[in-house]
Formats: sequence, C-alpha cells, structure tokens
Amino acid sequence: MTIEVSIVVPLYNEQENVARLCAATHEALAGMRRSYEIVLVDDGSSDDTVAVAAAIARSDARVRLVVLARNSGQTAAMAAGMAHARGLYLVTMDGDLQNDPRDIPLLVDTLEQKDYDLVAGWRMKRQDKLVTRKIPSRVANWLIGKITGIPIRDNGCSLKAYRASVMRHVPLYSEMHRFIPAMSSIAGARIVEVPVRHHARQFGKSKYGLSRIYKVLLDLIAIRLVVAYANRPLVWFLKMAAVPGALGAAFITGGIVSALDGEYSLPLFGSGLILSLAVGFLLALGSLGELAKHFARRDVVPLVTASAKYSKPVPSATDLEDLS
Amino acid sequence: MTNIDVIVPVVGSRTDDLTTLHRLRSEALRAAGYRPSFFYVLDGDLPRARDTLAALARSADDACVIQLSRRFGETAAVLAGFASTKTEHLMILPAFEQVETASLGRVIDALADADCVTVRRHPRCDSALRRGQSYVFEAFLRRVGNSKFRDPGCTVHALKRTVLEETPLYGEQHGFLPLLAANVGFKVTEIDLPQARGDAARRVQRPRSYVHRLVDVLSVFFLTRFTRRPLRFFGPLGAACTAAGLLGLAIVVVQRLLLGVPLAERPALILSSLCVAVGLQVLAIGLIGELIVFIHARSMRQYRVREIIEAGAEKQRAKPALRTQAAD
Repeated sequence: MTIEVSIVVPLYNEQENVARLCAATHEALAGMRRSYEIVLVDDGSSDDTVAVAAAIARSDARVRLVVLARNSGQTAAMAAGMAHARGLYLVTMDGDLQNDPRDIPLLVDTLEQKDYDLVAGWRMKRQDKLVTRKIPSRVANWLIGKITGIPIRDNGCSLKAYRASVMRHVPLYSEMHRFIPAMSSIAGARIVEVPVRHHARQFGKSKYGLSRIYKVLLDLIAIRLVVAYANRPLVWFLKMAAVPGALGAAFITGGIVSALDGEYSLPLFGSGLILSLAVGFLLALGSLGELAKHFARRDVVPLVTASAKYSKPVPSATDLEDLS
Repeated sequence: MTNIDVIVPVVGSRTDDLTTLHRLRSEALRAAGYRPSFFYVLDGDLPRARDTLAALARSADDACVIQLSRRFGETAAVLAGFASTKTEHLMILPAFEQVETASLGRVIDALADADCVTVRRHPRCDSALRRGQSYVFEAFLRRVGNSKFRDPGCTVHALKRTVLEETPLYGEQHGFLPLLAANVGFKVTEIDLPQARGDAARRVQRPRSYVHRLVDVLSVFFLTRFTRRPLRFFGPLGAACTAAGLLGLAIVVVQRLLLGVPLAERPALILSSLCVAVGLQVLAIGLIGELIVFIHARSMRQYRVREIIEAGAEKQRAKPALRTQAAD
C-alpha cells in the first residue's frame, strides 16, 4: 500500500512524551483519510526513549523507529527520518508535544491543493519564555529573512510539510534544519507559511539555550554563501575583496601624495601593499571555489522544476485564512 | 574455536623479538578459545624484521607477511593488512608487547557488547615521567578531541570488521581509531589490562615524535568538531582578527581627523591593515570550506543507523528509501 504521509519525529530524551505524541498523532489523523506512518528517530537518547518507542513500534504497524548509533544532532536525525520515510509527503515535528499534530492535515492539504513544495508552520501564539526563547527567535528570524532573502517568520518551528520528491534535492547537513526553507528555495521549491498551534512543554527539558546564537550567526553567513553564490563563488569573494581593496587603494594614494610632497611614508605604502595582497589572496580563493564547483561535475544547486522558482513574498497566514 | 584475524603493523621504530612474540600471542589467544591468523605488514624496507618474519611465515601456519613497497606509515599498514583479512572480528596489535599477552583474549571477549574495544594499560609499571607524559597526552586529547578514552597511546584494539570499513582513516590516525570510530557512531568500550614489563622499559620518545603527535591531535580536533561546519572554526578567528584591525584603523583615522596625528607616521596603521587582511583571509578559508562541504553534502556520512524497529521485523542498518546516498 502506498503511504501518503510520513510524519518524521526526531527524539532526544523524550521518554515521557513518546507515547503521548503517538496517541495524539493517531487521534489527530484519524479523520484525515490518508494513509500515514510515524517515523520516530531516536538521536542517541540516554534515557528510556528507545525502550518506550520500540514497544510502540513493535505493536503498531503505523509506527517505525529508527535508532541512531549516537547523538548526531537534529538535522542528522531529521535527514535519517526522511531517508527512511516512505510517504509522498513528509511532515516533520518535534517530539516534545509543543507542536500540535492536529495541524498536520492543514499542512498536507495546503501542500497538495495549493501545489506548494514546502509548507512551514508559524507559531503565532508561541508558548515559550520571552527573554530566552521568543526575543532571540524573533531577532534570528528577522536576520535569517534578511540574509537569505526568504522571509519566513518562524524558521525554528519544526512543524513543516514537504514533498518527498523535493527533499531529495535539499542537502541536509551540519545544523541546517533551521534553514530548510532557504536551502529548499535554492532547489527551486515553492514555499508557503501557515499559522499553527503551539503548546508549552509539559515534560522533559528544552535542549536549546542562548549559547546557540553565535552558531546560528556563523551558519547564516555560510548559508548566505551557498544560497546566493554556490554556483558562482568568485562573485562572493570579489565582494569580500571590496573593503580591503578600497582601503588599500586609499592608503597607496595617500602614500603617493605624501611622496609627491617629498615625504616617503612606509606605514601608508606598507598598509596599502598588505591590503592589496589580501585582495589577491581573496580572488585566488574565489578561483579555488570555482575549481571545487567545477570538479563537482554538476550544477551544485539543482532545480526542482524549471518553472517553479520561488518568488517573494512568502504567502502567509492572511493569504491562507480560508484554509486555517 | 572462533577464527580471528590479527593485524600487526611493523613500522620499524619499536619492534620486539617477533618470533617469540608471535608464539606467545598465538598461545594466549588459543588458550582463550580463538584460532588466530596473524597478518604482519612490513612498512617499507626493514631487513631485520623481514628476515625474521620470512622465517616465521615458513615455520608457522598462522602467520602471513605483507611487504609494502615503501614506507607509507602505520595507518596505511593497518589498512593493507585489513584488505587481506576475512574474519568478522579483528584484532590490531603493535609489533611489541604493550600489555600482558596472556590477557589478550579478554579484549576480543569484550566485543560481545561493543563494536570496538580499546585497552587502557592499568596498572602501569613504568616510570613517573612516562606516566606523566601519558596523562598530559590523554588530558590534551580529552580537551580538544572530546575523547573519553584514558590511554590513547595504547594501540591494542579489537574491533568488528565494519568499524574499519566505515571509519575514514588516513595519515597517522590509526592511534585515534577508537575516538574516530566513536565519532562515526560505533560503540567503543575501554577495558583495563596490565602493562607489559617490556613496554615499561622503553626509552622516552624523541621530541620530533611529540611534534608529530601534536599535529595528529590537531587534525583529529578539526575532524571531530568542525568537519561539517568549518566556518565555526575559522569564523570566530577571522572575525576577531578583522574586527581588531578595523577598530585599529578607525582609531588612527579618528586621531588623524580630530587630533591631526599624521597617518604617515603611524606603524599602527600597518598592524591594523595586517589584522584586516589576515582576518578576511581566515574567514575566506572558512567560507571555501563551507562551499566544499555544501558541494559534497549529499554524499557525506552524517549519521549511522543502529537498527530499525517496526511491527513484525527488526532490521539492522536498513538502506534508506529516500536518500540512498545518506549515511548507511
């Protein structure tokens, strides 16, 4: 039997939540009239998550459990779940019951009826701490939107639905799960955002803190490079060389002016020379990037469909009011 | 009796009487219920060891000698030996007695509950200086490589075949096999075996070997932490250097504009420019790394599946349905 929807749930130390999550998902999808499976992915939990989830998987044909050998991170867990999912549509959600499975039919219907490739959940009424979660999240989402050019309001919401065929083109690595919409957009995916419910965490501890902010910032720079310049890296390095190039030119000009006045200035000439050499080095690195891309022997950014290029702005809750 | 293939890289720098060592090891493993086959890999031209091993191969039916055409290093020797092995469980032993030979069977026994077994030489009987060196090395590796193993200098390992198949090893990384295997996702355990008297009597290594080890540790540090996110290593370094340079430039320019201090007489200008140049270059190297990771992301090993559990059947490391190029 063809499975239409695969719900992928990464789990890390969620022993109290697993059974409730599966029960809530079955209850929410009972009226969906689509075949589905729940793919639980244990990401190296140190508590009894595997034992609880395994008991469910052995007794329920709609549930599969993928056990990872070690803690590999949420992105890898998601990639593992997607790799072992059999559905035409993939839905990802957290295992902490903060996402509401009752939103899954809305996401899948939007995906199918509106012919989108990715439907991102937007936690309009987020039930988290203001200072440590909501404010950093808003700043991060604003930054991600500005830098990647994909103005999703809630990149951190795990509740998302995808066409499985599209996810084949999206490389998931490192901690890139936050940037799946941006990564999908470079593969040509059409993206929409819909409001979803959000609940406060009932059991277990949050695995996130403010410490991840600098990591997100560095990942953002990386994603900016790959989103915009993966197919033409030299352009990125040309832009990067603009600052030292301008400064170097200014210092050398200053040095020449001083020399014409009869005062030879080592600091001005030296600084200009150093910055000019940096420009040369950056251009050499850009060429190296071109070489790396060339030897990949394919376009590093494959398009999902030639005609389905993403266009701004992302349709949002207001556009989809009739659906919600 | 269970067959077990034993790889012994012979690299020249530290080699015991291989004939005696072979007899003792063979007896110890047979006493523990195993039928060993030894694969001695000669790393380059080692006339003495070659003659000894040639005689051994003629007289013993459980010894095989593999001669590498030139010196490739210990890791290459291990991998060359691995290519000739056939058994599901393997053992890697140094060409000298590092732990009490009579206890070697316990290392293989421990494979019942792990993918890879490494050994801590304990109790140790060598000098306080040697123990101090080992402690510093272990502490350093624990700090930079997130290692939980207490004797990274011990190269006695037992492992399942799949560990060497799936753990990328090159250069001189053979000594870090337990750490790298754990990083891939294999279950690695450490057991205690008494240190051999002969190992304790060895002289202190030359300074050059410590430099080589430091380089190896740094390479492992990068491999275990930043392989998939090079910008997280290069980014902070480059950004700090660039920011310091831009701050310095801003200060000298402000002093020029407000206080009239001529730029042409400021060595700080050169230093600040140098910081900007170096910082941007370091950042750019990180970005090139990110680009390379992105290009190869689809073929990268990101996770390892231990098992798949579903109603009616349990599969070990099943092939993925969607992303066939992923970790399995």
